[in-house]
Amino acid sequence: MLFNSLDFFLFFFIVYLLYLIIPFRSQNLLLLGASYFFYGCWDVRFLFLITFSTAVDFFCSNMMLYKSLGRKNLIKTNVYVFGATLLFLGLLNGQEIAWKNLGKPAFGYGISSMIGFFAITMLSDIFAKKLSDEVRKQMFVTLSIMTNLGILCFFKYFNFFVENAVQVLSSLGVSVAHLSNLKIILPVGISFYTFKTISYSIDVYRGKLHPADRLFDFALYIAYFPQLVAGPIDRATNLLPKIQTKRSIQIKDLTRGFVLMSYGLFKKVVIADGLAASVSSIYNTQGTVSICDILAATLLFTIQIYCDFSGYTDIARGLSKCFGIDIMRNFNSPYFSDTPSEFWKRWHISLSSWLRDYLYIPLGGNRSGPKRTYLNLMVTMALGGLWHGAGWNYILWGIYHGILLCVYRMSNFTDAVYKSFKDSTLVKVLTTLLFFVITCYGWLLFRAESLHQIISFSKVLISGYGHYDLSLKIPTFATLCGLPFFLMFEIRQFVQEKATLQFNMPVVVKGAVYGMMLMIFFGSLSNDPVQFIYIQF
Amino acid sequence: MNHIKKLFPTILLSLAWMALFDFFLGFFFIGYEYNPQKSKLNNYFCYGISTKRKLIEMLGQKDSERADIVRAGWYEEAFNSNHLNGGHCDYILAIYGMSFTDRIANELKSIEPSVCVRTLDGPGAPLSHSYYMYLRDRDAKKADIAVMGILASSLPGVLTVSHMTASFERPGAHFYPRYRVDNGALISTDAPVSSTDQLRAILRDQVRERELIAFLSKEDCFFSKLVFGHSWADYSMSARFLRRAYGQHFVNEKTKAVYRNGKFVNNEVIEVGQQLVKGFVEMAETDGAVPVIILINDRGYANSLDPIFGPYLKEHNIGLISTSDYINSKDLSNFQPDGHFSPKNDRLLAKALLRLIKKDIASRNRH
Repeated sequence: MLFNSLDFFLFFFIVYLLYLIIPFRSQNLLLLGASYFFYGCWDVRFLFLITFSTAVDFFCSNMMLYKSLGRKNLIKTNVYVFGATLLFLGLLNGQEIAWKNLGKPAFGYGISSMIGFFAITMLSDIFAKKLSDEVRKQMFVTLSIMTNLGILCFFKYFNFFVENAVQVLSSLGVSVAHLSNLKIILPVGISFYTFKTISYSIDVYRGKLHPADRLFDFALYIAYFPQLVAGPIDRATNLLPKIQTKRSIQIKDLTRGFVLMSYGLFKKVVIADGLAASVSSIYNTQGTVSICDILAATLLFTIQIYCDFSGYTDIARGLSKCFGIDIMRNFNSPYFSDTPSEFWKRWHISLSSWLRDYLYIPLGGNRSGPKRTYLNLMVTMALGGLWHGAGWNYILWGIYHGILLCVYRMSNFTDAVYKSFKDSTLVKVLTTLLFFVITCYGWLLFRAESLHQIISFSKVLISGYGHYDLSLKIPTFATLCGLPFFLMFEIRQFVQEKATLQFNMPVVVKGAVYGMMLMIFFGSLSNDPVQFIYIQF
Repeated sequence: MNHIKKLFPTILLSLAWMALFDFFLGFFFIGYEYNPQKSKLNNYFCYGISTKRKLIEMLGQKDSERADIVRAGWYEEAFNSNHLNGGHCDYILAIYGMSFTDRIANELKSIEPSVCVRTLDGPGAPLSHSYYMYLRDRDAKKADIAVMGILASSLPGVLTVSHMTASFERPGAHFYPRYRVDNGALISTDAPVSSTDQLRAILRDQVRERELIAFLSKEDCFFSKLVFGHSWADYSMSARFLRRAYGQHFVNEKTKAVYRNGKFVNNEVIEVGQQLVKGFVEMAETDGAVPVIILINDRGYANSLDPIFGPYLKEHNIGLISTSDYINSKDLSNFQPDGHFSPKNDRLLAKALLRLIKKDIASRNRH
């Protein structure tokens, strides 16, 4: 169910109407049910992962501090495990869950899982009491992290590692082709919600956060549908208190939410979807392309991925605003950055801050001298690239940004001359343009279909002068008309240094701008709808 | 409340401005008539005009005023436009298909002028149209080789009776039967329209038009009343955009029900397609012609036709050319922007066809 679909519009309309009329605790239950329904529309079988992960993390976080779940929470958690088991059996059954065929055996397995889980919690309770606080905390945070990372690694990276291992072993003459027969399906949004659960567990361990005492509140934090499949990776310290406290919805929240959703839809439908076919006409071809094709397609992809992802985030923030819940901003005019460090404070802020707080700083950050700092940066960015997908191009993209960060740090340490010029507007503009070009090459690595394409495209960029044919598919007329409006809003946001879509202009002029944008939006509805790029991560 | 009072003028003015732009564009630049010969930009604003309105404009007041696209696809037009060489013909080759096969035929003529080629095709013609054209053509000039082209993107068209439904943006006017399979036998439901003159008369008569709509609703899976019907929406650019978006969504959903994840999944399409091919082969052999099938896996349909038609054709040693053997449909440089193969690839396929024909003819002569 994509955000820009009629199905989702109907779904949101019904959920929102109910949300407005029911009391607070019921609102959370409604949102939880709606979130599971939303996720189930992608693939109902993978609900088992999210419910299982929720049960494990809720248990571990409470065991870290309270030593016991309490009877109510124990029952609810066991029900989650039961449900997760049924859904897992559905996964094993294949595409469709024939509930009537599951019958007695499934019930048996479900009951067994519940008993097993209950036994584990009882044993843990007995065992945990004998441990010191610090050891107990370490044990349960490790269990939580290993469970979540294990799920993520298996479902996301198993195929990748096996395929690469088969290739390496085959090149050494060892025949292990049968290993690559197991094709694991990637559950939607797994990278996002596992990072949420890991950050939650670590924050509880560090004492930054009290564990949620209500299972359903915690489950809603994990599964909250506006950000479930493509982020932002909101921290529990930000989102959980908003879920746990009563919300009041003001008219201005609704209008702000509506404006955010509208702009998000504009970016997605008009710009991102309109550019997708042009980008694909070069990146998805297996033939030769010219330097102009690569430059144009890469530039368009740079705009496409930003509009796609930030458009999704704006819609998510807008939806959430309507519920009276503010979720974090994920983009802050990233293409106006003039340094790598600034870029990562403006692009996918939820992921970059997550990597900083839970990977880079625990590795030592910049506290252990320059060489160790560079190593930490490279590891963090490489893993950040890998997070995006099980592919060498993503890892290369991460390494590329790691190198940029390292080079930037080196230039900062050594180049005092740069510091004296950096306040000059002209220098800032030039460095911003230069860094934009550098960022574009990174997106070439990200978008490429294979390592072979990265190499061939890079060769053309270096030595392809003289062949200037342009075979790129031209974007649609509506998209071309929409680009100036998009640029206008983005420049406005950067100049004002805050997320605003408000313009201080006469209402007649504002009406003309919005009227034109609405017409362009209608014209773009016939663009082929493309799945949100980050949903595949 | 103050907040709403501030927003209300903005919302009203936005809608008013949009209506003004709409009128301005339509009245001063785009116009309210439909003419497919105008610029691409003009066409962009006209894709969402109702199919009925487009047809009325393109059919004109009489046959001499028809646009080219509505002439195409009718058997009589195709028959009359084919002029064989006055001189010697080594072979007579008849090709039933669409623009892809037409382009191959043109290349073939230039490579081997002694092969006389007749083309009986229609824009984006599905297999059912090609089969119908062969049926009509059986009593005409005898061909030594009968070639049928099957275009992957048009295969879902076996669920249609007219080019005006799935291709609503640039509709053709020609009709063909809807074929179904009943106990292994092919049964046909004939369309109530057999000429542009007849269609023109129907669109002028409300009662007959309603009957036509009822027929299309029943027999054509890609027919949408909302897309077909002429209304006030034809005079608004915004409404045209919305209609076009709806029409595309409608066609995409119907297509997804037929073709998904790289293969055809609709049993009726597969069954009917296979019976049509079988029927064509049997008829051609009865008529003394060598049947040849060209499977055209166009952009986005890599190798999707071969599993459906390949086994039967190989088992019965029927002449077969699959474009997948020659052209990688994932390589966009093999295609022109309009989706046709590049001229180099048309020539490649024409040469392959010529080699196959010579082999088949030689083999027949030996027997």
